[in-house]
Amino acid sequence: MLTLIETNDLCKQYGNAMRVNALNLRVPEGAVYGFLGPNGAGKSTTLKMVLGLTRPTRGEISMFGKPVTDSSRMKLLQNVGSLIEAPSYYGHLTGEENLRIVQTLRGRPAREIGEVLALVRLDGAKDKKVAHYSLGMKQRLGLAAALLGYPKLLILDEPTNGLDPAGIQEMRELIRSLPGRYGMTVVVSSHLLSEIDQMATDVGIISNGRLVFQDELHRLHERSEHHIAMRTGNNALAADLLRQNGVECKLGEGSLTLPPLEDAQIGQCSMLLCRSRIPVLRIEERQRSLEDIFLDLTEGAVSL
Amino acid sequence: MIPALRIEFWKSRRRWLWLVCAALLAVELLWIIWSFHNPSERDRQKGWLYLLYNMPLLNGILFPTIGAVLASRIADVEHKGNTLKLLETIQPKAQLLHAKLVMGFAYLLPIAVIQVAVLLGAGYAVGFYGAPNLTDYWQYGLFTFTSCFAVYELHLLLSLAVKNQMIPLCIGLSGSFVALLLLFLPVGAVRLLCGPYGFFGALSFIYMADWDPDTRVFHLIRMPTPWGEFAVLLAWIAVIYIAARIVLKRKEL
Repeated sequence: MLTLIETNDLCKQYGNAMRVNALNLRVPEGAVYGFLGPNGAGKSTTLKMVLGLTRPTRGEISMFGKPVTDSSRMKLLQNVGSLIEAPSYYGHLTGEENLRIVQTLRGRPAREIGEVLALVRLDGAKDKKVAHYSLGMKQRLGLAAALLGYPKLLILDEPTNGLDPAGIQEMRELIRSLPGRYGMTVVVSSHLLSEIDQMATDVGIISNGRLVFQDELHRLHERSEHHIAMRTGNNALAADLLRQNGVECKLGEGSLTLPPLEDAQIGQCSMLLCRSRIPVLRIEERQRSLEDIFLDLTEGAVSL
Repeated sequence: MIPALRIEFWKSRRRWLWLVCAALLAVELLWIIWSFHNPSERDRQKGWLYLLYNMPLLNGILFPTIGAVLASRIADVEHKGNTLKLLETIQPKAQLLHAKLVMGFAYLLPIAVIQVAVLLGAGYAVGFYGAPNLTDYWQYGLFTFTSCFAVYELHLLLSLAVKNQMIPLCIGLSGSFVALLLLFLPVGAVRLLCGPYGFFGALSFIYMADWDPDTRVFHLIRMPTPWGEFAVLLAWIAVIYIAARIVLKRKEL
């Protein structure tokens, strides 16, 4: 599978602060790549470097398998739509007039303006000056501008900012549908784990400028360490007894931690303890939440 | 380049840029009406040269501010809506700069042409004696346009580079004072090296001689056309252009 964005040892230094540090991003074709990290982790700076809006201090960037250089940048960006930080707009022009600017500069047919306006449900407000739009409407307009030309790669930096709950849900569904409907690959950044969990197929987690995790989303879920928690009348005695009978267990605060066991094995453990007159008070199936994993990876510096 | 230029004009819709240019012409027209509303015999004799003597002074005082306002209104639309971040992914930086320069050209050229036409029309309306020397007037138009363009170019660079538009506007206001101050200096290195502001005066080729404060009598002399100074102005335009390319290339968003 083609890697649409690849960075090697990408760094950005501002003064003495290394905002992005040796980042090796890999965005596979057809993915919704969630770029996750706390505020100030370096997400926007990374995306700006990918788009050539900010010059890297060190490192290389490739797009569509080709290195991004001063001479190749504009050609490669013909297949990229982007929405970075706040939406870009001309407040004194209408929504449609704003899109006409992008459509003309991209050399796309005029009919696409109506199509993308309908896609982001802004066709009813196309004749209104953008200065009179709400933040959510401006965000939609920014997405419409990014979608013009149906680029192969869409880079969206915190696209749900300013949207109401219904708008957020709508935006998520739209983003999720883009690879299937238009064959796009989407990179979407967020500081919200739940948001990425609902949209992404792949995820990269950045913390303090470093990429601390990058893989398919289900691999992150696999780190959730499924286990059984058991509380008994005498946990210490129960732990000894279970170990003597070959069941691995750890004595925790107020409960025992057992590995994921089949129902039959759990039943046997329970019977064993009852026979030894140790009352079983509670048996729970537990899982480390994605939030816990995320907090571990980002050393707690994260908005959830 | 043509679509980029079309887009630049599209962006200027409802921005009333022509009003900025009209303001300059209106003030100058008012000055002409005030100066010649009751012309004396001497006014009619010296009229054609007198206009060419005074207009560079007026342009020098007014245009740095007008040019700063025009450039600011053309560049500010990009800062207000964070559009540079979008444009730089779909349009080469140089193309954006060229489009905005051509846009300024398109506004400034009519200013120069209309100004010359107004001067000639006013001269005939007032009834100046003799016929105007058209060579003088087209050279005046050329120098006015080029000086205005240089000032506009400098302010476009400032307005694109700095988000807070008060800074280039204040520099424009200061430029008006600089231009006025430089009129009192002889044409020389200082006058030519103080940026494009001093060229309204430096390119003036009508010289006042034998001024008698008691009788208020003076003579106006046609000096040789200052092509050397004009070449320095063209060099300024080239230097500002190169600076603009470098600044835009290095600008990070």
